[in-house]
Amino acid sequence: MICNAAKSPAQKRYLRRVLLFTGLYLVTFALQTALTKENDLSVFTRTAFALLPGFCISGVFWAIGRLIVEEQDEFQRMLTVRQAMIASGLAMASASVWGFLEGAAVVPHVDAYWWAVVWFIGLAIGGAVNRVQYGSWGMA
Amino acid sequence: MKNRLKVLRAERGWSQQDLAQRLEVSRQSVNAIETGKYDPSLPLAFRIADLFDMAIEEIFLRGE
Repeated sequence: MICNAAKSPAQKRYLRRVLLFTGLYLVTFALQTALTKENDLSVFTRTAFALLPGFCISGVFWAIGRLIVEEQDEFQRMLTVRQAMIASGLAMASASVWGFLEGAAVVPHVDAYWWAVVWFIGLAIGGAVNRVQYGSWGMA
Repeated sequence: MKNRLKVLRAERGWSQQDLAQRLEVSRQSVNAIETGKYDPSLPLAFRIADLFDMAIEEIFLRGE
């Protein structure tokens, strides 16, 4: 969520990286979805195509990490760190609670990649928390 | 921490954006410091003090 008009060089690099990995994710996810319908694929092929979307999402996490490392504006860096911490807390807490509920057969099974989605929702919540507390959304 | 940044900036006729460019930070950073929502690190405080040609304690005041 980029809300500041003027972007630092680190923010521009972050945007380019996120766009790249998001584009690759869409392509690899479409490929993986199409290929999983084929039953006669080898384990190696299915594994390879299943890994690709996950690696692309990992690339977005890497881009956020690089943003924190490369950003020279300490206030903006702090906002991003706060966002990431709120996102991590939400995702980890959600996964833990859901995991135990799932183990007790109270809730249905959820594929693990959904916790990354929860993490990104947490990133947006973190931006809103930043806006309320510091008057600025942050960068990620 | 209270500070006199807004007054010092106004005395020089600078906007928040002007000050941000001089300090090489975002306008949001200047706003957060001026309103006391964010206390700058010591290196940034020194940069601010150098820019106004003052001591840090003449800009940033003790207390809440």
